[in-house]
Amino acid sequence: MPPPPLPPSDAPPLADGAGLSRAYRLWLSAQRRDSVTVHAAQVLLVVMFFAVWEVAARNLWVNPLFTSYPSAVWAGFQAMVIEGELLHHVLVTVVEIVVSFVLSTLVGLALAVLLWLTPMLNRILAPFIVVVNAIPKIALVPIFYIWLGPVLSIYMIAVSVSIFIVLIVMLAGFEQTDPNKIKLARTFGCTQWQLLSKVVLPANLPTLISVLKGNVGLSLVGVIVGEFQSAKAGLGYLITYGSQTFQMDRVIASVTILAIISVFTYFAIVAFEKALARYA
Amino acid sequence: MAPSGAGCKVAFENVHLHYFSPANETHALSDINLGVRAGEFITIVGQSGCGKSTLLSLLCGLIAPTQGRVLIDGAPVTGPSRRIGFMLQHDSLFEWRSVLDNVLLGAEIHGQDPAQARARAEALLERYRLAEFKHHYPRQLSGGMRQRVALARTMCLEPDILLLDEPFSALDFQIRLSLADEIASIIRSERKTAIMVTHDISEAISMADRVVVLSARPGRVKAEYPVVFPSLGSARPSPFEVRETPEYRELFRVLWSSIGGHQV
Ligand SMILES: Nc1ncnc2c1ncn2[C@@H]1O[C@H](COP(=O)(O)OP(=O)(O)O)[C@@H](O)[C@H]1O
Ligand SMILES: [Mg+2]
Repeated sequence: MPPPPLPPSDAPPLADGAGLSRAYRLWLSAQRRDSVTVHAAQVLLVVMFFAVWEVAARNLWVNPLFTSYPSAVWAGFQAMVIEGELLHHVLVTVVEIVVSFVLSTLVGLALAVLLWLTPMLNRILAPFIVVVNAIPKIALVPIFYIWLGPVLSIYMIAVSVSIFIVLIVMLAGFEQTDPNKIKLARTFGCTQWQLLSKVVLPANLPTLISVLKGNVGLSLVGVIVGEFQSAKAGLGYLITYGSQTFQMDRVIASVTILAIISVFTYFAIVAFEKALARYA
Repeated sequence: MAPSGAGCKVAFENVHLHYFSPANETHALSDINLGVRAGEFITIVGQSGCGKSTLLSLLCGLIAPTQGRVLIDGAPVTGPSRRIGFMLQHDSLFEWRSVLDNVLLGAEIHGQDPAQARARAEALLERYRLAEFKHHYPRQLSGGMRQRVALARTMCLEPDILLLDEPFSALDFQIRLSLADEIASIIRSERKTAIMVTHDISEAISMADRVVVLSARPGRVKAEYPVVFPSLGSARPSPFEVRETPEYRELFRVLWSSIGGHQV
């Protein structure tokens, strides 16, 4: 006697492409609930932060002259927009950040390649790189200002803050490239340049991405510090000028714009990373 | 007995190799004399650290002998050559390249015509049952498939000498047996000269025409054993059949004691 046919099941225990199992659906909706909770809590935190700040300053629990408060910052921002200078200041700073970032990345990368290609030079220079890297670059701001003047000194400080990270981290990455891959390429008789372009550089693409992420932040810090010293324009200038004239609303508005720029540059790198994702 | 010197595809003549480091000097190979005929498949066995990999590196021209000569077709080896294909223990596939582009690596380095190289690569992938994976990336492949890609990458330059350094040791036992059989028959059917290093005695016997035993460091040629199967007549049995023969069992016992298998 043939076995009785199995009863049709409208709730298979396992997901099978077309229909999702009940357990899986429950799990998914629990996940969705969790993520709604997380987002709601995040929004609540931000709202509370601004509310407490506003209320505390308005009731003089804190001195608004020192802390300012959200509505005053917004008013200060509008005033700066109306005066018509803000966009110019933002552009000056953005250009400085982008140029310093690109310059320090390219030069740092080129130096790392040079030192990797010439191990003898690497050995000679290694202790000096360690020493120069150990100098707090911010301490050099006045010196660069005297040597290079108000504009170039900003680039110089931003590049010198970030270039060593690029150089040191990339070189370390190059030197740690999988020796088996290098041996394999050598069995094909590749030249040093081919080793670089076909093995070492592509293998270190992930290193480069993480270096870029760090470098963006450092370039920004370098540019603002440079502007504190010398600039006649830029967000760093707005911040020092605002603080000297005790306009905390404008200072905080400028810092907020900086934070927004920083977030944008970070996401630009993440987008770049995604574009390269097919390699990883 | 072993052919030596003249008339050999590959020959080591009184080769010594010392490694130098600031801390010490390592005498890795001592007075190696060894010849391999064209089309012959030899395996080299010996304890770990006895200089097996070093022997292959010398032949490939990655390092130069401290003393003595390494000859291919009678001419001293000066550096890596297209005619030698080297298969390493790790497949070392480049994870940022597709299977096809991995196979084309050697052709690219040698600046060969891309269209012809690509045709060869595709034919090899077809042959090694990898055609449908040519646009996949290494992380999507199993260990056995990755090692077959590595073989295709080696074969794509059409070398006439193959060096294999424990090519199966990273694989699971089962895959290892079938892949060893498959690769042995590929190499044999293409009449390549092959030198394979292994620490697996069974693999050494089942794949080779001759097994060379190196002594513990400094490595010397301690003994050589031809692998022949009078019980099966003149035809070369497949590696799988070899393991069933009485000759295999006898040679296994001899090699085991020759290597010093008891001192693990
Ligand atoms: N680049 C190197 N520098 C110094 N010593 C090495 C180097 N490569 C190998 N050796 C030493 O030489 C000996 C032989 O190494 P190897 O040929 O790799 O042995 P095997 O492949 O038989 O295990 C070992 O003792 C090893 O430590
Ligand atoms: Mg070895």
